[in-house]
Amino acid sequence: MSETPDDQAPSDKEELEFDSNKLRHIRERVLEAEKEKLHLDNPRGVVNNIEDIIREEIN
Amino acid sequence: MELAQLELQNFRQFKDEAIQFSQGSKKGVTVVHGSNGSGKTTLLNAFTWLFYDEVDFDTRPDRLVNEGSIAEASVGDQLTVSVRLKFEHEGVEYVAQRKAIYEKRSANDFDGEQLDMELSVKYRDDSGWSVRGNPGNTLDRIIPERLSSLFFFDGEDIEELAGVNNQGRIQESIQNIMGLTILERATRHLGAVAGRFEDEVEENASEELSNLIEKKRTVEDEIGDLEREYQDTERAKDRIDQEIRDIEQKMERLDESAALQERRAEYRETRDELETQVERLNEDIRNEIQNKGFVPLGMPLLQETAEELDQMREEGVIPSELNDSYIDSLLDAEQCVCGRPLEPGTDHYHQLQAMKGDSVQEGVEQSALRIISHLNQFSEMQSSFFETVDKIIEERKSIYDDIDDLNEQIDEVSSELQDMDKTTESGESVKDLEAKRATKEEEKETQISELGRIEQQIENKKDRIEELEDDIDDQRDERKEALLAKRRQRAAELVEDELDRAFEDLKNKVRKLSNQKIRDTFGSIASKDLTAEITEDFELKIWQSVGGERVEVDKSTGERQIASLAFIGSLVAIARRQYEADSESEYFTGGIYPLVMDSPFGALDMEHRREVSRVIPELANQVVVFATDSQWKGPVEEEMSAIVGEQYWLDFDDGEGAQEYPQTRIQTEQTAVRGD
Repeated sequence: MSETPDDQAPSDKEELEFDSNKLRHIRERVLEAEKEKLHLDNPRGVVNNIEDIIREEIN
Repeated sequence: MELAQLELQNFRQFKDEAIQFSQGSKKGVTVVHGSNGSGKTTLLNAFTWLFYDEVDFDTRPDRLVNEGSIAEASVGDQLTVSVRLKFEHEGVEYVAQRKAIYEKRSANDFDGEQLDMELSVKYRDDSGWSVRGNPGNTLDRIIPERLSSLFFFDGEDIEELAGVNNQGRIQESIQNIMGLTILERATRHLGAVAGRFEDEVEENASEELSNLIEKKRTVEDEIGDLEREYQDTERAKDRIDQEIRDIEQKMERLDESAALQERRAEYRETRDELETQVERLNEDIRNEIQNKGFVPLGMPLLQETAEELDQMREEGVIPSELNDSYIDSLLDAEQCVCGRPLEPGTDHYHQLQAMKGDSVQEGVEQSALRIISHLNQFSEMQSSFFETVDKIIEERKSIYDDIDDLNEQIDEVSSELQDMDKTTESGESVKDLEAKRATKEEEKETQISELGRIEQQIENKKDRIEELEDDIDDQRDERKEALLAKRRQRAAELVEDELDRAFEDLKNKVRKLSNQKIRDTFGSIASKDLTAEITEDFELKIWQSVGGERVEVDKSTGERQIASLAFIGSLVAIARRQYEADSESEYFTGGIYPLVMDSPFGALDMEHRREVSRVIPELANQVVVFATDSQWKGPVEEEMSAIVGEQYWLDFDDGEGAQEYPQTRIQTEQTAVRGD
């Protein structure tokens, strides 16, 4: 259960912080995936690609 | 992309022909001369057939195969229709070819039955020629189909681009070429991915966290419903607006009611101006409060402090309390009032020691007086604040009174109209029309307040989402899966936020850039009193200056054509500039595009033809123009001949004789042309 002791709170926050290089890398990969399908009116599958990128980058 | 050569085989009236395109920015124009019906539009269709398997013919749209070839063939024979294009794109040479195989089914079959179609794209790199696995995809990436009409365009339809129904296309074209589409899509898709991870968090989370997420989802759904309700209400308001305009138009046709309506329009205009003034005064009040509003709030405390200080000074408490004994206490504690250590023997220690005595008393006394004087200045500031605000409020009240008067006068006009015993041409009484108009105005007011209510509700719900998100962030979940999903969700959201900010920045930049370019291009072609603008919503508008005022013009065909040409030319120019500048941005890359234009000068007068011919080649690296002799002769030829690298004439034979069929040959000499 989620009874949160005060002294644990900062580390929990830290878990949700990311190195700016990591975010930049994700951004570049996402834009590359979008670029690949930019010519399509309805780029099916790109959401799956982005989901995979995030799974690979954050583990 | 730079076009090199187009080869046609059995494609409509072209049996076996080729065109070599002029390349290089100095002589980048290729002209194909041809009379009406000789095959100019077929050449344009050759591009769209090759790229997207799309054709648009006015006559016999199903007949792709050359009539003469199929007529001469025997039943059961197979014929190949082919379009082959050599071009260069981003430093790579390409050859794209679409081939369709047709079979003649009967002696009278002149269309043939298509048996097979094949598209191939090969390219040359360091290791020689290779074949692209997905040729359609390759071509669509080079020029997306939805943008094709910008680069391969038919002059007869071109003015439609600047028409009211095509604003969406203008928005899309700008956004796509300038890199906004990729950002918009990435932002939207990251939002969807964040939602998937949130589902995962919910699946693995504690009950408490799961409940919070559920609550957040519910509020998000409610916002979605409210946004739809807002759009519906806005549409309803627009409909009512249109109905009001229709009623007013009907009444304007009658002289008596027209005069009253004109009076009402004047009153309304004055009222709108006054309302704008009220807005300005409200802004002044807000600024005054922002800059000096703290004074009246802090005044009681400031006054009390000033009085106490003064009293202490008069009673001699300040110097006696603050001088020697105070300094002694600091020296004993070996710590200065500023927090620094006061070590005996240091300069700092000596300085403070030296401050003991009469001189310091005088200094403190003077400081107290200065502070009291400063505090009293706040009192003056407070008076000035109230004086200014009172003055603005008074001014605003006087304007409100004027607005009330105007509203009364507007109501009076409405009453007069409702009492008018006249009938319009369509047989409706002015009385009834005005009553209907008044009802519609009330309905409109209701819709406006409804919009305000919905907007407020959306705001409140968004605040609630923020609170819930904070609560969700504060939740600690021990389960590894939930925490990992939460991390992934957060990463997706952070990148989404960043791209969203980049989108907004770039959108402003692009709008400014395209606006400037289109304004310059249109300005150099159109009449002096006309200006073109890309609005905040990326709409293309044409303005005219009338007596110092700017009014939007109903675009005539000529103006629309110029506006469309200016728009396309500007886009190509911006994309090229962006590409050549080798932008640092990951998405704002631009590109080189040719312009292939079929009869682009048709609807223009001579002067505009001259200006368009002068400007368009400056904007694009490569221009291919299909034109009749009458379109070409005169100003177009005068402006373009110096930059024409290749010229062709379509020699059309209508094949009227026995065993003859329509055929067009592409000649490099004008002498061979049979009429215009």
